[in-house]
Amino acid sequence: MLFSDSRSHAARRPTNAFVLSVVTAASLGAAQLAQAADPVVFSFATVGDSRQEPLAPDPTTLLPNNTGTLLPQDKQWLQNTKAFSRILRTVATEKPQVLFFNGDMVYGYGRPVLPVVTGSGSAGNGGAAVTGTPVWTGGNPLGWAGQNTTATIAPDFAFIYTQYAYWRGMVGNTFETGTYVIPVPGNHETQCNSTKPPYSAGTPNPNCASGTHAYADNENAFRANMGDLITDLVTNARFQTVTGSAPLNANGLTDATAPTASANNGPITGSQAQLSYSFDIQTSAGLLHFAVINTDPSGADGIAPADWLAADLAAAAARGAAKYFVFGHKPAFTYNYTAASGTTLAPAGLDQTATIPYRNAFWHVIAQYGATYFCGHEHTINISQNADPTPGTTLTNTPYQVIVGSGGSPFDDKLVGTCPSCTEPALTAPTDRYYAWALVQVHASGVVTLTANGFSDSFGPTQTLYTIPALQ
Amino acid sequence: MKTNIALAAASLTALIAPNLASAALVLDTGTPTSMTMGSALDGNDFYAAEFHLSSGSTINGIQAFITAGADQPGDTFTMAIYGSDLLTNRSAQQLFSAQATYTADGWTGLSGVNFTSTAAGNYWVALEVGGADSAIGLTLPQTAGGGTAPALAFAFNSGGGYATAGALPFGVQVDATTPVPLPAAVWLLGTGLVGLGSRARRRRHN
Repeated sequence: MLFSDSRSHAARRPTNAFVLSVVTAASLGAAQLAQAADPVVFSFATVGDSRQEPLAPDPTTLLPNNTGTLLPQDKQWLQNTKAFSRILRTVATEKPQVLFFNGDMVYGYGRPVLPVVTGSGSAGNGGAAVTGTPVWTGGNPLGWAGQNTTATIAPDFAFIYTQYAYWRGMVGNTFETGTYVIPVPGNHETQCNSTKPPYSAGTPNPNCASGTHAYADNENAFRANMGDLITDLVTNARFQTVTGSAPLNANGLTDATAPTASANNGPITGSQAQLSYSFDIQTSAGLLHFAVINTDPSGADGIAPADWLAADLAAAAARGAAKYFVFGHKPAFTYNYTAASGTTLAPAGLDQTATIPYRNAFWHVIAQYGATYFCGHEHTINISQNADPTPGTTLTNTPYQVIVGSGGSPFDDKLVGTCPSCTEPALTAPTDRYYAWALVQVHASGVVTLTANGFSDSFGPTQTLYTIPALQ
Repeated sequence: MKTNIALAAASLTALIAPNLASAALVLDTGTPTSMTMGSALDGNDFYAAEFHLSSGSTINGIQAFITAGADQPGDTFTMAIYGSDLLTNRSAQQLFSAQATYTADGWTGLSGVNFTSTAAGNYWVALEVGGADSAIGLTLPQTAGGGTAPALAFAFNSGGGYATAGALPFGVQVDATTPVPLPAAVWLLGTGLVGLGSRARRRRHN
């Protein structure tokens, strides 16, 4: 009953619209209330790419009026603080148990070479002090204690570590509001680009080979700054307290269980411990398996460790896993956001010509297990379904690839012209220039739904961009 | 005579009663036609639409067109009425607030609001998610604009207070009962009837 009976007849006379709407709501209600019997038993959010761009930031992040400069804080720590903090704030209201961050949390791109032990210092907290090994091993700053502190650290070390620290500070409150953050390495974490700021073509980085390549030093830096979040999947000092669920069957945290060079892993050279790893969560909807992969390992740039993933998912299947979620940085299928402008974008992910066989092997594993692949790298949001591209495959399913590289980095679909008279490009999808993230909910029935929310480059209201009623 | 007076009074009542108050939509931004894109209603994104009351009125019901987003039936949010200065002084401007429950995609709202405004003027109806609410991300699909009583303005609050937002046509309706002033002739007729009744009583008494 819409209106109270105690009021006059006139006051109780509803408009036709109200009558119609109440009838409609009532008729829909029964069906929708049936859904209420299918509660969410686990949920996670996912986004990537919040780092800022020192030379070519998106003009909409400049002050004032798209013509100025970055805020000093973002210029120094190279983060899109405004966009990413708003995303984190809204994700907190969605109350997911975990936030998977799909790489490029820092600008990085240098080579943070650590000084090595030159004397006979004590171990401190950083592990055994062996002459010739890097100090600060294990990522613990207290590891400096007792070491030879006369060594000079590379400027890239300070450049990258301070960016990590800023990002860790930004996500610090996320844990306090009930969401555990799981980091995924991106190319800006693992690779060095010899000519990117603060270096240039005229004064390239002397510690990096020409071009863009992953280095063990960068992977060490990732472990040093993110390792506590990953090793907690075993020690469980915080994960269960934050999420309410225990992490189970962690894999890939040590060299013995992490990817190594193989036919479909590619010619990996450095340790992948804590860069490609996995764990399970037990829910009433079944065992959920989560795998993180490094798509730019040292020695194997742009290659996903397909052999390792195949073995990892097979082990999870043997444990009875019901759902599989894989998180990496580079997409397996590049989204051509320039289609509306009449341009075909060159493959920018795992699908570059030189690595196509590795990409095919990777997606074959995804399709084999009906997994969903979440990634970033392209600074936009795009959701697609893709069949196994392996020649002669018998798989016919089309798993989802969810690109959410829209956490604050400069949009790939650039404004046209020179600001402030610049204009929006011809958008292939209306959401191409949206800061966006995805919320995935696992329901008691086993149904997995996805809702993608985001806001435009003008920082308007948050909008629901996509809803996928059956992700798996 | 007694019968005649009763009939006259009944006729008068029948004549004027429906006009003592008139229920109508004082705000109706229209029904969304597309569900593909909408605004997220969550703990960080609040929305308001401004409407006008021509006189002191009773608000009977508030409805908003809502779809699930990431939520489920049974999740709750808040509907509120604010005074005209919502944008500058939100906390002091709140006149009414109540929790609503999302049950199904479509119009969701509060019945029996029975909030009586004290004066004519502009007001805001707001959709919010407060600390006591359970919504994590309902969706407000966009309308094509229009409706039978379009909003004077829309506002959006993403944590820093409400600010006007141009193109933000979410579906919202406010149903109000507005008293209708009686014409002078009705009062004259009533006075005459009272006089007739009084005279008849006196005759009977005599």
